[in-house]
Amino acid sequence: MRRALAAALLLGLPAISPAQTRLASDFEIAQMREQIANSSGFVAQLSGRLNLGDLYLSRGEISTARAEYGEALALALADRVEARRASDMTRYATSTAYAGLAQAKLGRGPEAFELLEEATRFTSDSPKSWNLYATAMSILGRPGKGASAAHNAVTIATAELQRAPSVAGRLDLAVYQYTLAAALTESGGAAGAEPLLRLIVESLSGPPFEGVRRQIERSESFEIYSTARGEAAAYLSLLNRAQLRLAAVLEKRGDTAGARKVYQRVLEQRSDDVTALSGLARLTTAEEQRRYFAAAFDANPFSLSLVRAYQDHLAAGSSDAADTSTTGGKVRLALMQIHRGELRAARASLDDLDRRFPGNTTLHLLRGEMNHPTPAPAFLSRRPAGRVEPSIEDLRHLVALAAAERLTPEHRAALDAITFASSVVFTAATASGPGQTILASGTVGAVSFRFAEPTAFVGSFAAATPLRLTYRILGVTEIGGADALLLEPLGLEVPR
Amino acid sequence: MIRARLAAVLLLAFAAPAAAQVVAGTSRGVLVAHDGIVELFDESARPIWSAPGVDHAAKVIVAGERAAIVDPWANQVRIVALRNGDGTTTHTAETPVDALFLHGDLYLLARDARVLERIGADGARTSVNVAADPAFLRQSSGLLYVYSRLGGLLQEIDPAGTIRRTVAAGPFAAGMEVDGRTAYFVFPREAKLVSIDLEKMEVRRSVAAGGAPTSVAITRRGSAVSAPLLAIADPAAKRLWITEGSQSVGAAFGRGFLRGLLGLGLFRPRSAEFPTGIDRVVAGGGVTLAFDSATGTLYRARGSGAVPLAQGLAPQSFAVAGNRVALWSGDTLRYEQ
Repeated sequence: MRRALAAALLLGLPAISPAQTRLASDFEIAQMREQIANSSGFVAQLSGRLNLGDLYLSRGEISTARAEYGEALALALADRVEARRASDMTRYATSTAYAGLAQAKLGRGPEAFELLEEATRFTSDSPKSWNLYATAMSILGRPGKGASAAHNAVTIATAELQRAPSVAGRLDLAVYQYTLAAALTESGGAAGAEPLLRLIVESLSGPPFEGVRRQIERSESFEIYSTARGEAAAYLSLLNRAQLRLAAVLEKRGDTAGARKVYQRVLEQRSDDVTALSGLARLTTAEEQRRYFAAAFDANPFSLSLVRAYQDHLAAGSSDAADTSTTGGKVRLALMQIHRGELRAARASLDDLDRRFPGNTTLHLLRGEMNHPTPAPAFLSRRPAGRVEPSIEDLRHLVALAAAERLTPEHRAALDAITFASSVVFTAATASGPGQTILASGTVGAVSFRFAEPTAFVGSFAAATPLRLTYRILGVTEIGGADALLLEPLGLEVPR
Repeated sequence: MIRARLAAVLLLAFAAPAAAQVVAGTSRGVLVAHDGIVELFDESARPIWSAPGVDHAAKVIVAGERAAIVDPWANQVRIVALRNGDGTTTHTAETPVDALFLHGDLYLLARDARVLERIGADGARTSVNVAADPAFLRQSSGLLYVYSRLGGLLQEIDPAGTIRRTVAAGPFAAGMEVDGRTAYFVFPREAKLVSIDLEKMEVRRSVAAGGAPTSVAITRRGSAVSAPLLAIADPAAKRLWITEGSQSVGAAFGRGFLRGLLGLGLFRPRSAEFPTGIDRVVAGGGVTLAFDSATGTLYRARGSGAVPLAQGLAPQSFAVAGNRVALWSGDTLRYEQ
């Protein structure tokens, strides 16, 4: 019923070519374009632009996404100046915080930080400001700052709700709790996030939201937005996101049955949710896997995480047959051709898709990988893993694979088991009491690295001097906008 | 373990450079932290030395022959010698938002870690947990005072890191200053000024203060013969309110001067009107500066009027230096009288 409604509405929208396969986010994109065209208010314009940016980003249309974020930033900056002219300080703080969020979506961390600091100077009592702050910091990969801001939002909103209980207040609090759970998950605190996510899902299923649920039933709403306006849209989007994050937490800690159950609940709300379909494809039987992958690719053929999951599926020896009447089927066919080594046919398939979806980043990435495949370092396949002295080239390949989400679960398991040792040079060294040195980041040859936290080592060590570091590789991070290794130090010594 | 990073990486490739720049007056000249370096200029705005700094300087603290440049985005502080710029960079707890030197040690208030860190002259480090959302760090009579916005608590901490006393100043203050044994807070939402007696650690007075006060500065320190003079930036009223501190502020505000400009008592409080809403105020050497963060406009307050000095400035890119104003604009330092 809900899908039929979406299809019917889409037929009347000229922005979507009838010859083009419909993607799950087409309807939301059309809705946001209509909102921008028909509403002149700041919030309507701003949320429209931010949502469009997120929707295009999820489809690999990065330049279009950036253009929308740029529009959102321009709107917010203009509104903050206008608010000051009108001496409306609350409005000034709100538009400043939204400008910070737009900068975060554009990847400009320090600029986002400055704007959000400015906003909270005026409205440190506003849970909404803190929530925007936390969301921006999570986008920028700063969960430490994000979690603190989200804690503030939850604390203030909880007190407000106790003073004046309301459905809107409950919904707001659940939104802030979700942001906190996201920040906790990203900072390695999934154990703290799980009960919070369960609480949100339980709260949204409770009697206070009966009226909102009836409103959703009447309007047959199903759209999911990152910046939702109105209680029904916020309820739907929040329930979707909270369940998806809960399922991911359960999946990560090995509760496959629990994760599947939650993914299924997401699909009851939204039958073409690509994240839930992709999750179920990972967690189900071979026959069902094909069905779920097909549905997921039809929903969003350009989801990079879905592409990687499918490549893992093929690498595990699973066979498949693509229905090439859909864009999703065509992408799957190209991936199968790449996997089988049919590179000429794969290039033709990708070129055909590129003509229909020009500028799509996922397609360009796949094409680039075909032309210049990044080999997985040999140590990722070595058994037993043991201790490894990696070459600089291997570390560079590892960073490239990780940044492009090309590491398989087997690779990750191997990484967890390997102890590495390299000659490193630290950027800075701080003496910390007698016989102690604090170190945080440096380089292995041309590969930058940093520790998860600055670490105190026993001994006196100098910066810009070769030292011997024993470590584990936790993942990739960024230093000054460039990819770098995230390391867990195990030992440090002066080379003999 | 390995997080999805492609989108973030692609986006970061388009990131614009940071515009963080901070100016501070010192005994040896004017210090400017910008673009990952720190420079000292003489009284003719000629560079004396240049040295490595931090990438995103947000605050510079000066004491004696040392300065600390704080980067709350990257959680770093660089401590430099004013003599030649030599220094060390140190990682801090999450989001250092305020700092000061006391007895040769650097104290850093890390908001998102909710700790006050001490970095000793010998590099030794200790820390103490403080209340949620700590925002301001000040010192008086050899003691440290941390104000935390969420619970509105002012905590008195001795240099060894022991929390001695706590008083409820009220939540969500936007500005704090200390003069002698009195702390002043401005609260934009309630439009009030609160003074705290630090001897007794109790609220001395809470009075109405304009439309939305966001910043307070001491324009004249209190003495045996005169009360301190306060300047309060009020962007909603587009005014800078000037009034006496603890000795007569209660009477003045109590009579509603800030709302009605009635002016009572021995001291006649006054205000300066500005063409745009000013939200920051700094004072020193008989100079009072007011700043509009929305347009980057810097004004010098003169009597009941305002003289615009520059536009398009970053919020920390100016400082009082002696009886002049040092401005960093367009990669150049200049002085204004």
